[in-house]
Formats: sequence, C-alpha cells, structure tokens
Amino acid sequence: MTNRINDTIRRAQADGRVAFIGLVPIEPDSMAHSLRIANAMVQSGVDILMAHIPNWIPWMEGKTLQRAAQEPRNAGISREQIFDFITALRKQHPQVPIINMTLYDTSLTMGQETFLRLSEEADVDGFDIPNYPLVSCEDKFGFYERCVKDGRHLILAISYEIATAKEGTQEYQMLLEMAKRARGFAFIMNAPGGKSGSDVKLSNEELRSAVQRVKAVMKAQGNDCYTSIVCGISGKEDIEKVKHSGAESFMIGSAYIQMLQDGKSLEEVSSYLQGIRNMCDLDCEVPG
Amino acid sequence: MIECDSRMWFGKYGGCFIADAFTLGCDRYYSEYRKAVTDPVFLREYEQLKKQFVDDSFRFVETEKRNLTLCFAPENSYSILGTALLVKKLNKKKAVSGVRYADEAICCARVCAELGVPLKLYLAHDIAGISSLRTRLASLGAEYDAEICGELFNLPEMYAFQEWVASPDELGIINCRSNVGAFPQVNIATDFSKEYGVKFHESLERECGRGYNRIVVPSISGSFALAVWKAFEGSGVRLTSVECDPVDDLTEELDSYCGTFTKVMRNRFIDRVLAPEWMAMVEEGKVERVIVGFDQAIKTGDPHVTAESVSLQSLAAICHSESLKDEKVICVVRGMRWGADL
Repeated sequence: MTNRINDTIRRAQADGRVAFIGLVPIEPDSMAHSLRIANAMVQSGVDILMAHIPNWIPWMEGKTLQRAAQEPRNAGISREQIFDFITALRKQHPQVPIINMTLYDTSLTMGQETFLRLSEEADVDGFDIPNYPLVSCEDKFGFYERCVKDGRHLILAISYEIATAKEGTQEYQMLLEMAKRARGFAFIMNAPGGKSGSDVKLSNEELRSAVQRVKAVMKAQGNDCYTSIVCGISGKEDIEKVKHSGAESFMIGSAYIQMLQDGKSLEEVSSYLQGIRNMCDLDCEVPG
Repeated sequence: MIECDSRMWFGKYGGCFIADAFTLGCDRYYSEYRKAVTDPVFLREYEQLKKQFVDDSFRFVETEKRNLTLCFAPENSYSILGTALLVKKLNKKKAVSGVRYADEAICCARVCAELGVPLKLYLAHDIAGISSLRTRLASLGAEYDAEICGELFNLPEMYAFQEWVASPDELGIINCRSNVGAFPQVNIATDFSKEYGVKFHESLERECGRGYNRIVVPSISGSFALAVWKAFEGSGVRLTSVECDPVDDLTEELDSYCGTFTKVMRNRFIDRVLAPEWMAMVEEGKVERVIVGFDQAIKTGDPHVTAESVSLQSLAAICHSESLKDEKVICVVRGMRWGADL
C-alpha cells in the first residue's frame, strides 16, 4: 500500500535533500487563516504537513506549543472544527502528506472510532501520537493494528537512550520492537523528555550515533523505514546537525509558530521557512 | 509497613500514556520505590518525619441534627512526606513538585529542608502572588516558579511532571495528590496517603464508636476521599464524596493528566482532574459521588461552620449531609486553604 509520506521522502532523497516536515498551527480566530499558513508553508517548500490537534492539557509540549493549544481552547474551538480544517487542508493539497499530531488523550476523549473515522474522512497519511503506549502496553487499544490495516502510519518516537541502548537491556528490547513496527519514518528525539522547542539538545555526535543505530537495527529487521529528527530544530546549526546525522527528514514547529505568536507577518514566516528549505540540499553550503 | 498497589489500570482509568521511550523509566522508578519502602532505614526515617509534620487531630462535633456529626479534619500530608523521603532515598539531585495551596507549598519546603533535599516548586497562579509565601519558601531554601501557571495553564503539577520526565534519573517528584502522572505516580501517592484514612478511622472509632453508617467527604480531585475510603473498604459503611465548584459551566470529559487516563471537569479555562482510582470506585458503585451547586452550598447554615473558615466543598458536604434523614452521618469538614479551589 503506498503512502504519500514514503513517496515524498523518497522523492526528496532522489533530489539529494532532506525532507522538511512542518507543523500547522490552529489559529484561534480563523480556520481560514490556518489554511493560509498551511498554504504559505507548502509554497515555501515544506514537504509534509503536520496538523496540530491541540490537547487541552498539553503536558508534552514546550511553552510555544502550549500557547498554541491554549489559544484555540480559550476561543472555544472544538475538535470537530479542527477536523473540518484538516479536511479542507486535504482538499487544497491533495498530494501533500498530512499527519495528525496530537496525544492519545484526544483519541480517548473523542473515542478512538470517531477519531479514526474523522481522520479517514480527512484522508490523512499518518499520526504522530507520541504517548500511545504501543510497545509497553502491546497495542492494548489496537490503534497501531488499525493504522497498519488502513495504510496510515503511526509515527514512533525513539529517545537517545533507547536508540543507543546496549544489547541485552530492556531498552534494547524496546528498540528492537520499535524498529520492527516503525512505519513511514521514526522520530529520533533531539531533546530529553521529547519536549517541543527544547533548549537542551543532543550533540552532533550523539544525534548521529542515535540515528545510525536506529537505521542499522531497522535494516537488520528488514524495515526500510526512514528517520526524522524532532525537538529543538530551528536554525542553521540544527539543519547541519540533521544532515550530519544521516536522517532523511526533520520537523520544525515551535520556531516559526513562536514567530506567529510574536506577531510576525506571514511573509516573514514564509521567508524563514524558505531559508530552512534552502538549507535542505545535502551538498549545499549552509548560508551564513 | 507501606502496602504497594501495583495496578496500572483502575477499570478503564489509569494507565501509562507516555512515550514508549519513557515507560521503562517509570517502571524502574516503581521498582526502586518498592524496594525503598521495605528498607527499615526508610521506614524509621518516615516514622520520624510523620512525628514532626503530621497533624492527625480530628475533632468531632455533634450537631443539633441528631443524625449528623461533623469531623473537623486536618490536611493529608502523608503523600508529600513519603514521596519527599523517596527523593532522598533514591539519591535524586532535586525534588520537583506542583502545588496549589500555600500550606502545601510550605509543607513541601519544610520537609525538603529537613531532609536536605533541594526543591523546586511550581506555584499555582492563585498563590504565586503571595509575597509572604515567597519569602517563606526562599527562607526554607526552596526554588520556585511563580510565573508559568499565570502565563499559560494553571496546572502546576503538569510543569513539575514535565521537568521530571525530562530528567527522571536526576529528579524526584513530590506528589501532593493521586490524580496526576502516568503509572506509577498515582499509585505511589495513594500508597502513602491512605494512612490518613487509617488515622481518621481510628479517631472515629475512639470518639464515636460504631454508631454511624455513612461518611460524607468534601472532594475536589477525589484524592482525599480515596484515602478515607481505603480505610473503610469492606466495612459496610457507605461513603459519599461531595464536589462543588465556584463556576457552574464545567462539563465532564475523558482525558489524561500527564499520562493517567481519567475524567476531567472543565470549561474553556479550567481543568479539575479526578483521581483515576476514585473514578473507578464511583463507576463500580462502591462509593457515591455527588455534585452540589454553589448557590446551594453557600446557604448552609450550620452554627459550627462559617463560609469564611471551611472549604466550599465542605459547605457542600454539610449541605448534602443535612439532606440524609434516615442515616447516621459523619461529615468531614476541611478548613479553608489559601489557594485554588480547583
């Protein structure tokens, strides 16, 4: 079963660059404005869109994404309205991969069936649900199995500790399980605790060793899944680090959402995104 | 002796909705905890702490309504003591905690100062501006964040949990209640706090004998009610928790609070998170949960209480108790605290 995520990353690889994943914020005042932001992201070269379905208690997020969750909540935006937005996003961008980013809490609150049905109606390609206990609870709620059946990817997130675990440890066992089940791409966390917008980041070599290890373990399992770097990616040094790590993609959210929260114009944000996109070529000298 | 409850699920509530990458850290923390609480040195030190910090003076007052006795109860600080000691025992570099009341903040700071454990507190917005509290915390050597709950979500426990998840090997978490955090956080809080119920039960037997068949308890998160209920489980005594909110537009939703799945009473701005084990007890019909309206609660006219001296939920509990005509009722009353009702 083909999936837009795989196709897009494969194309980026063929073009000799890393793929750029960007988070689409929910604007509290207007879904039409959210759509304008998403359009600007695509026009600026973002390859994969992550639709932010905010959690009403966003305990895994840093300050910027907490604010991005709080504003729509205080404005009384419902989850159904957010799904309407994602559906509109799909209509506008039929070829762009869309991933729903939320916590499993949202699925529990809405009911898993409703959540999956609305996601199917919006024709999303995957889910970034970092707190779904896939391995530790053996897919207790059947979310992963359903994703595999429907051809949508549940994106798994692997910490540095798991990625570099010694053989024979519980962490290594978990790495094996995650490497076996990863679909589309696996996130490698660039920050402890997986907090978005984190200031505490792995070193170049730490990140590289984590990525290379995960790729090797996935390959040994016969899994050709890609890798992606998440948490604290915002500028030139970070993109260099991503390329040095050997990952095929990376995700940015907090950096430009903060710009929007600070009142920067869409043109300024687009300019920032284009700057990031220009750094994605593997053989390019990153502009100073 | 501290009995450990190792259940990850309480009916459909509880769980460990946290990234797979971090579940091993949680499991490790639980096994370290279980080992610690069987250590005689830990238990000796815990007993000493309780002597210093626990107030177990329950005061029983008969009312003019012959079937109703009020019990003026101290706060339950067992979980703060136990989890703070655990931080020390596990050689963590620092304790973190989110606090909603001034007395809770001072208790954490005093206990950590006594144990020599560095402490960082996240203060709820409602208490963050109290300058005397900030001065007192500073004098006890506690670091605090008085900004974030006003700036973003007024969920101090969430910020403490976030900090802990990022560095579980270096940090320990002090749990004030049983409603926050992926397994095993809620279990550990309840394991310690249930001793409060035992003390209450002993005082009740001493003062009132067995002449009662229902206990009514004021409740916000259900943590206090849960601690009381644990001591009466299987005794035939019925227990009712009474909730009351100062706003009337809260609706009930399923959600998780830092990885534990439960029910949340919320509007656009407020979350009142209920303890998962308590919700399971309610749904299994083992206990009753009652919500009393604000207007009704503040009309409570018992001469032994005033709206200025007891909590809103206690007024609601008395209000509900007075409506129970055919039962012998003990109604627990908690004092007004300096801080958030939610």
